[in-house]
Amino acid sequence: MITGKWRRRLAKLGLYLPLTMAAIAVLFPLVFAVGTSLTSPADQGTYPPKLMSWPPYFKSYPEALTIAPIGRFIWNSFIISTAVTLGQLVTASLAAFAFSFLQFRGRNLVFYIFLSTMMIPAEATLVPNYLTVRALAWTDNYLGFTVPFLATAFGTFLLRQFFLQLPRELYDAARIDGASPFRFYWQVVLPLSRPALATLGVYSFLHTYNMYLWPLLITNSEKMRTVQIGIRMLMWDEALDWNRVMAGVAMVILPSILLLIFGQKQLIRGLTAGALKG
Amino acid sequence: MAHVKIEGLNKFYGSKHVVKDVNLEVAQGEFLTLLGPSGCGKSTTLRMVAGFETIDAGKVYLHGKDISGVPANRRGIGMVFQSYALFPNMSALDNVAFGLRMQKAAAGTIREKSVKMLAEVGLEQVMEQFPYQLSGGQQQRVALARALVREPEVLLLDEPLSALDAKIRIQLRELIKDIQQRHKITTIYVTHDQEEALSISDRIAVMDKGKVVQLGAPDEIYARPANRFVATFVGTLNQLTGQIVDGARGVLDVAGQKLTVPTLAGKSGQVAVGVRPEKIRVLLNGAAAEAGEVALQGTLKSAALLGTIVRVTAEVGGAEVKVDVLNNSRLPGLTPGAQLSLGISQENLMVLE
Repeated sequence: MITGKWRRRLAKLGLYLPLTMAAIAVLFPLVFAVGTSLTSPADQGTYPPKLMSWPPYFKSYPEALTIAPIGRFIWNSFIISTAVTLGQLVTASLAAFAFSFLQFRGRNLVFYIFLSTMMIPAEATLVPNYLTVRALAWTDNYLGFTVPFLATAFGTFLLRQFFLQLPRELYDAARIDGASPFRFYWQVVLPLSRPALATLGVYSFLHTYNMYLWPLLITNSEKMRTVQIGIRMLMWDEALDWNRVMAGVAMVILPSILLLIFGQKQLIRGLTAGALKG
Repeated sequence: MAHVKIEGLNKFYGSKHVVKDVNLEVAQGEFLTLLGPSGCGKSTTLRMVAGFETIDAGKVYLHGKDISGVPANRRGIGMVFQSYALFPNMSALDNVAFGLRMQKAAAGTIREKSVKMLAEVGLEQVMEQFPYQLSGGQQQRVALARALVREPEVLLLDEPLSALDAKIRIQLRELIKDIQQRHKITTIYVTHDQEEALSISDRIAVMDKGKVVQLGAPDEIYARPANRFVATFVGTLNQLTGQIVDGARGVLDVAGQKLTVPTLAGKSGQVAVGVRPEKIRVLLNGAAAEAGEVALQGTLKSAALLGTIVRVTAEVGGAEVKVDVLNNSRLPGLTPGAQLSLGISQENLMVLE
């Protein structure tokens, strides 16, 4: 006979066992990458395979940095991702504010047209965007990296859904107190929408940070390359040293992991906002 | 000249005509209540006065000046909302100060006026707290202070008490009335609660299906309702339906009992008359009806103690008649099924059209 205490323990086991397995599956590539980066060239290819050398082989990191200027790539990616994130937060929040609080003819139609752009595959816009950027002489330039991504339909949709949850009477109260729509947006809507803004910020940063095809397309010089291309450069070396590649990967993913660690609370709140009505 | 004049106001939502030709005048310092059931157009009318809704036809005048096209923030109006509408990210003090900041008042003045206003509504102790730290009643007080701190010409209140419990509601409505009289501010108040409207207003405009069906002082609305809707919506009303059997004298036959109602003289057919519960006397110990009174015989169904009054429910010819009797313990033990004699003064019988 299973007592209540054991039933609770079994229920916990039923919950934590799959969660632990999922966590291992998610974390394994990361642990494997860091472990490989700390493996000496001599220990690579041994059987049975080693997760890492002992003592750890830290030289992979300076070696990786001599093969490709990873620091410069991280800097480029960081600048571009920050600029795109800030741009998207500004444009998406303003557009979302207009679509949720301002009354104008054809508002819903414009919003649906805006939304429908999400259905266009990014690959389909690649060539026209490239031609435009080239015509503007923005190739090999931060402008070419950032300007095409400053507005986002997804971000506008995400923030609009959040803004629609704010009581309409707040807007009326602000208006009758003499506030302009922008003042209401700035002093009330933005402070109340921090979870949604953080969600969009984290999403946008990571998405831009991990871009590969577009930076590859519009950059010619090495000093303008971004991190994903940098990793690829490590793999173009004559001998493929996985410890160096993984050292590069470990350095490159560090900002993303830090962002996720510090932003996960807001990210979850933002993504689940409106999912449950309490 | 009326302080606020509403002239021929109309509003459509698609094909739905929600406000139909509303005409009202509110004097300086007057407290006017728009009273009606949900969906009667009272809040929409108020929102058109505030400038939150576009006006499809008609005009709103303030001091004789047409403000129909003036944006809400330039109308000189303060408003209190049902949901309080306090900014959650600001303290009580900052909420009250918000309007003054928008007016670009001096920092010292902003603080001085806001603190004074919060003190007036009894909240100086909690002015640094955020809305989520305040009770519903306190939040609505902050909302009232916020609406008044800019010294608006007109104060609008849209069902401000309906989210509060009964006791707080009574306290707050007294506070609202007190502050309104102290500031002598012209006020338009929206509610569906007839007791609230009767207790607080100088005049009441009863609305039904987008129209003002009666405008008058509370006692006038209660005692002389313009039609059956007003009579039944405002207060409790007993309705007795019968056939006129003597048109010359106005004698009505209600389930075999004859009632002489002089105001029915000259009428014929089936009519309904109404009488308020407190206007009916229970005739004790076989007492006869007095001169000018009609007597009805009924059977006692129940007697419920409601505090200061006892509500007696009797059945008269298949209809339920409620009688409110002061709880002064002079009533004998009322047992269901007992025969009752009820006396109604003829002048208290209203013909329901």
